[in-house]
Amino acid sequence: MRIGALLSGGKDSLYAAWRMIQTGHEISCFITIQSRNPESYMFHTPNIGLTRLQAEAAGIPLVVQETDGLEEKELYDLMVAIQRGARAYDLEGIVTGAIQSVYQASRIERICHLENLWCFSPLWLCDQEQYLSSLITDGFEVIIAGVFAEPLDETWLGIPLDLSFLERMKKINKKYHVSLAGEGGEYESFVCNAPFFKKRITIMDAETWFLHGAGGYVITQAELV
Amino acid sequence: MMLILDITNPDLPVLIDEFVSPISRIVHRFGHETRIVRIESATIHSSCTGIIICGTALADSWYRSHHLIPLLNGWTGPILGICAGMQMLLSETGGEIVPCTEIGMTPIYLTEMGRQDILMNEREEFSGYALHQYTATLSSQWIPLALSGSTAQVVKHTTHPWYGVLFHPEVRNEWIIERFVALSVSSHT
Repeated sequence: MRIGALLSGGKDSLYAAWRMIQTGHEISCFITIQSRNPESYMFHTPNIGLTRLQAEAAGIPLVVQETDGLEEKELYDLMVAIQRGARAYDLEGIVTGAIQSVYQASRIERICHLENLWCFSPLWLCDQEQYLSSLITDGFEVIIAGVFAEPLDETWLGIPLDLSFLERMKKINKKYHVSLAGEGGEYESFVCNAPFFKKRITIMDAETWFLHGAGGYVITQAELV
Repeated sequence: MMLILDITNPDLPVLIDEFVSPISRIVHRFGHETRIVRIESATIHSSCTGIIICGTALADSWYRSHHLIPLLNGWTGPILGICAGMQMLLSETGGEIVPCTEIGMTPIYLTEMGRQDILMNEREEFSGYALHQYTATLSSQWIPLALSGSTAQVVKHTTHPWYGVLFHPEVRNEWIIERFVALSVSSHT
């Protein structure tokens, strides 16, 4: 099946795309919504501009749609993006990285239904520990690009999502009930390499910020190697 | 052992991740063993305490050209049909599949019979995650336990401990699966 993968730049959207490839489907294009609103209801924003590099690394075309990121209005922009991707690449389905968000999943399902497309969310209600372990063992290289919940602080910004990260998150999950995969927006990630990338992204320069319990790792310079 | 019946399109094994594995994990979490089988090759072993027929994707209509009845012949133990699983149960016991699209959280309230039923009691009103293009009409063998508007969201067979849930209980309503597991264990012992 020819699939369009919604791409935020984070681990969930790229792992979901990988799962489709693993089960015999073709990712015909990535679809990214660039929100001008950092508080976007639907769309992940840290380093969203770098999905261009991820698409190039994978050798997969990218459809970009800008949005003001206002609640519900951004859904119209998502629908336009999906329509553009579907027409340009003759898509039969869409894959999302939704794990638990009914808000996100149901809105994408509605658009796919209207556009007569299949909708796949292979991470839906997954075992989050098993998912993070697979992400690491399958060869994804992921860094933490934002933290938005205690006790995650500035020391977490830019660190790799590896086994040591997983062990630390398991302890935090036990004590604070923070989602292991960051599904509640506790942290955001950025993927530098994936098993289906032909090149990896090297971060040359980045700026970090941390204020009132939230912080970001903003990549200012990166290249493909 | 709970039999988890997979009715997703066999050409799309990725659907198992989304519609079958989460059910199996929930049953495991409630301390019960599971066996996941495809509908075409399913057999019921003596160790089976109950059967959960999982749902599938909104665009998947593969299940509509397949049948449960050969498998269920002679089985009078507990069954929980979820979404497409409920549609199969109802349509093969005198009902008819009809268009009915619902996507997203939907408010659900119990009927008088629902208030008295072991699966649903003490839950008066709640929201369920709906993801379907069809439902099925109820023959006289079924009674509604919960509704949203005029749509039957939870149904029960009049003779057997067979239930159908049109929404997806694995999303925000795991208590339904927990109660079904408890009911299956108690009816087996």
